[in-house]
Amino acid sequence: MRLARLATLASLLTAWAPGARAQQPTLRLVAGTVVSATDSAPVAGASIAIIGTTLRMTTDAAGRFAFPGAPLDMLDLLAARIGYEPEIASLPAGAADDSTVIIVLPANPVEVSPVVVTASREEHLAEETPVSVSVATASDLARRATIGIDEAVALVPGVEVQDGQIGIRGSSGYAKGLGSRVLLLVDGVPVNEADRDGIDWDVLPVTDVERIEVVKGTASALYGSSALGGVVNVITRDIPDPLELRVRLLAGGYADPPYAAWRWRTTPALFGGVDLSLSRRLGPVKLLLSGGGLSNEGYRQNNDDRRAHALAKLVLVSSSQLQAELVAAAADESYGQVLLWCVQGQCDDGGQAYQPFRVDSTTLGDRTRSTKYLVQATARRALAPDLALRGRLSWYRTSFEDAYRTTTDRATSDRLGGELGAEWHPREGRVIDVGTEGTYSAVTSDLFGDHSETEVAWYAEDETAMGTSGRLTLGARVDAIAVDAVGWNAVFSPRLAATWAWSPVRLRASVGRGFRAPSLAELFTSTAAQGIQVIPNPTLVNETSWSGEIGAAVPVTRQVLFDAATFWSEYQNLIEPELVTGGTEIQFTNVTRARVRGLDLTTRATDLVNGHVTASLAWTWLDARDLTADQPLAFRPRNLATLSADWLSDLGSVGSAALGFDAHVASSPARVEIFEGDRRVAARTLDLRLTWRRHGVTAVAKVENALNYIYTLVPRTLEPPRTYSVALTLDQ
Amino acid sequence: MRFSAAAAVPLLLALGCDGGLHPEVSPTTCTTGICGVVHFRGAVPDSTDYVRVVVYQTIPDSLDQITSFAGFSNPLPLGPDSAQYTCCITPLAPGAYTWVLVVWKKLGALDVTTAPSLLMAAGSFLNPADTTQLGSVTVPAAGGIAGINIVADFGQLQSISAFFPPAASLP
Repeated sequence: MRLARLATLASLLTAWAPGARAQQPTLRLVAGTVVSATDSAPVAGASIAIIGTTLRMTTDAAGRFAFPGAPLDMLDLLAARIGYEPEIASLPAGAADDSTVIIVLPANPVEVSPVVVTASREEHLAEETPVSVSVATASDLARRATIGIDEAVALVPGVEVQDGQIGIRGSSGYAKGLGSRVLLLVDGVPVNEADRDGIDWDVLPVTDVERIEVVKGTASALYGSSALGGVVNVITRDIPDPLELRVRLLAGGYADPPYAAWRWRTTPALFGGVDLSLSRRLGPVKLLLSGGGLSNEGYRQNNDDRRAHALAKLVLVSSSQLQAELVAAAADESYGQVLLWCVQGQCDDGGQAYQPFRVDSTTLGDRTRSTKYLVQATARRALAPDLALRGRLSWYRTSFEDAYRTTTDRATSDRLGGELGAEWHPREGRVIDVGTEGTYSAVTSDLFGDHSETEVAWYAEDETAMGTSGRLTLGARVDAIAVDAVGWNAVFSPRLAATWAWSPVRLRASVGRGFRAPSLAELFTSTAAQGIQVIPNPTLVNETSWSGEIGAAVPVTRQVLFDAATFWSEYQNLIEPELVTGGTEIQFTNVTRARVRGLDLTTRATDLVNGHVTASLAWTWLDARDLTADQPLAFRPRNLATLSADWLSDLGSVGSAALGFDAHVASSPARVEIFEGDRRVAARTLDLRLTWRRHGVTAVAKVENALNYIYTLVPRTLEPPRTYSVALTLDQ
Repeated sequence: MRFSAAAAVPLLLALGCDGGLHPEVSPTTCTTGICGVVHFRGAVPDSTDYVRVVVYQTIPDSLDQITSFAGFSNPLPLGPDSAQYTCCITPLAPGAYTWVLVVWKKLGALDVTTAPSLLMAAGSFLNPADTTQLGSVTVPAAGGIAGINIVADFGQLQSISAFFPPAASLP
């Protein structure tokens, strides 16, 4: 029977073209409308899916949806939209005549259970996934008037972003952005850099982001290399049917250093920017165009920054059977390079041992120019209620030029990717996902040389319901990787995961193997840095890990959700820069065996104090040890904690207002790899915000690092002092 | 909510204490010799070989004594607005030194005959009580002396020989 099903699946995989299936089973039309519980107004842009099938779509401007090919069985329809609580509506098994339904969504400004897609490629409520997933929604981003995606990600519990390098639950420390152990996806498509395997957080404007999903823990069984420590999936925003113009104006400045001895300019450093987007539906196509820029004088010497970006998104909305979209983005940034702050004698130090707002005078004028281009096309076609095919093509180009006083370094890299997969629902409660993926990365650089990497992968995952309360997921992926088209090596990454509803508690557990192939930069960098030669190491092998997690989501009351997870990872062959040949040269080598274990506790609450207050509190405890050297892993804080709260108030005809804050604490890492003798302090920030909304106008006034606390995450690299900003968004 | 509020208290308290990083004054004591800061003015000439702090026990009174330094520092980093220095490479013997100056050395082989054209005074340590006068420095028998700060102006370079014979006041 199983072989017969697989044979059926294989034959259907070739049936991409419409009409390829000669005979359809008896189906029915399921249509309806999604409305708001508050005022019965239609909810446009709500995602709606028939659970247990491949059928999903987005409601139109009138809140309508229609599935002409729905099965006759009893159906559960899941409807979800940002700003509302997800709702499941059941339809009885019916004859082939039409079925209509009205789904009422209760309004909820802060979603308690957002729908996520990254944890298993299928849609799930966040607390029903077999691994820990955190979500930053568009409303979170808007409430904080977030400037960069990394800024939003850094507030996710268990995540730390150090000078742009992300670590999820201690997976990464700091290596100047090189060799990320977290994979960045844009709408599910991998976009880590082809040369350094790092992450460009500015590849997309944050104003065009619908939500950011952060999967904590290894996800190589689904996504392959780089997903060793987790995945960040940036979902671009939905496009409404009517013409929409959105403008965001941003202006701000930095406070003086808290000590006169560190003052370095007589007037405040300022920044400002504008984002503009236009969207509408044109027949079967939805189109979004956006662009903008940011100019920042910088809070440090030689730290000015100029950015420009553009985005185009095209979505085909002809039917519930076919979804296709094209995203093209470009970003350009020119910024002053701040490698390290000035220590005595390197600048006009005013008699100070160090000047954190100044740089070594010999590096004044050092600049970097960085450009990124992304084009990706994705398509998904439901061939039948139980079978859908999906495919994608993507191209990501990055280039940079570091212009120093005496040298200039350049690199241009391309990442070409493609994927073809199928989603099969052989019976209610079971989903089988199979696919193949290919990636070709190439770099041309005076730092890294001219090299390429080819990766071909095959994956399969089977998710099966266990009775009415549980779900078991078994998956695996095989990646075959070659550098410069030679030396193919294969990696096997299995995963086993389960969820169990033990009412009202939902338990989850997972174990899996992860890996990261060395980046072309780690393999081939050849340069001199501060008198020390960096030499290539083409013999590097993959980093690997075994990771596990056990967690529970506990609804304490209707408004309060408590989540706890304990996690553990055992790493092999971690790649680290090492001094070799008697300390005269640096080389990336596979040296470290490491263990990271810890605990995540999160509480989220909504609708408190008569619906006025939302709040969240998260604490992560980490024990990250280098077992080879028997010492703490570098750049991992032992404790991370975040407390956020907002007081929402309806001001009647004047609009609505919210007053909120984020308090964030990260303990000082037990070990750093450079300047170990420098004084280290914990990171402690308090961000305050006031938001006012009325008729499509949103104004946010913010004070970040309100205590003007001076700290570093990376040695001799200052984090921003107190920062004032105002953002005005017009949405028409 | 009660749980959150209770947990919030230590978090906010943690935010409130410890003011983070704060200024640290440069070490003001020398374990040996003299030390201080050189503040640079003007553009560094293209033909620069090096810039050092140089110490004479007394101002030379003839060309053949021009390279008879009591001691000199490592080359100073060029580019910053200022540079910390400790003098000298070889320990400076306890005693009084009449002239502590910043020397700019032009590219070329240095000897007694070429010194007047290759060695230039960019600035001298001045008497803090009367900045029109050179400042004398006394190195103690134990330890060193700090705060010997000098302004070096590359736009006002003067041949060392211009200071011969000993000057009562700066030219």
